[in-house]
Amino acid sequence: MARQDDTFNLEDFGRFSEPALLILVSLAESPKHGYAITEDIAVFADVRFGPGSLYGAIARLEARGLIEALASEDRRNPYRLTAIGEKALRARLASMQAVTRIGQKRLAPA
Amino acid sequence: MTWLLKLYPPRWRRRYGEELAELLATQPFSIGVAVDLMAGAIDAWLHPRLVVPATKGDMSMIARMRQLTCAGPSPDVTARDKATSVTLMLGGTLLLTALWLWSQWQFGKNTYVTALSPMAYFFPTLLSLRYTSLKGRSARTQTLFIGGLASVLAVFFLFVGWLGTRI
Repeated sequence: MARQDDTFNLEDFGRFSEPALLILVSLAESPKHGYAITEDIAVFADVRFGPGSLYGAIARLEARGLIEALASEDRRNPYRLTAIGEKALRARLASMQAVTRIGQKRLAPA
Repeated sequence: MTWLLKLYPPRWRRRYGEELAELLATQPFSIGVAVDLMAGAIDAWLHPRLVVPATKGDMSMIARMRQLTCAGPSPDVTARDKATSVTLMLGGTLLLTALWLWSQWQFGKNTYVTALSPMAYFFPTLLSLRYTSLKGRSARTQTLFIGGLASVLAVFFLFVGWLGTRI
């Protein structure tokens, strides 16, 4: 499998790669702040990340330009997916879909 | 539990502190959350360049251009820095191990010297961070981080040695 551009590669996020992916999926719906992201991920993925892990992943995504903070009047900064973030998410989901398809095909009874 | 945020670097706290405090206010205290925050604080100290300004709208064009070259974990670590870091880690470990073996041979077996043997690996490894994760940090921060962690580890190993004499 060809190696993706580093910008789109979430694998080198290490232990933050899973929270990073789920944050991107959450923000694909609409901009959200930290608490709303945590609650959304808990609903659709049944996973609740600790605040340290969540913000470790947010910082990485923001530094890579995959998400960006929006101006806010209160203490909670909402984040939104950038165009690069959307491309990264599409690439990652396509790769996962391909793996899922192959896995299910191999598991199917002959 | 917001006192745990003091473990994070000041720059990180300025950028994410209020948001994190807001999030923490919605959660009951638990050991899991405390450990997660501590791990997050260590990560934040190790990757200081992850922090970017709050909103892109507030940034000048020059600042945006600078961010392009500064994005990602420790981007200014060159191949040469990596080579220096690896050389220091491997060379230092070999040198200190040789020194430790020599001291064992010269002065005979000593529980505390034996207990300190893992430092032959940990100390050069911590020193090597100067060229990778700690690159660009002030000399004071580097000294505090490397010296502090090395001291904590040395005390821990000496404590293990002391326990060994008691059992």
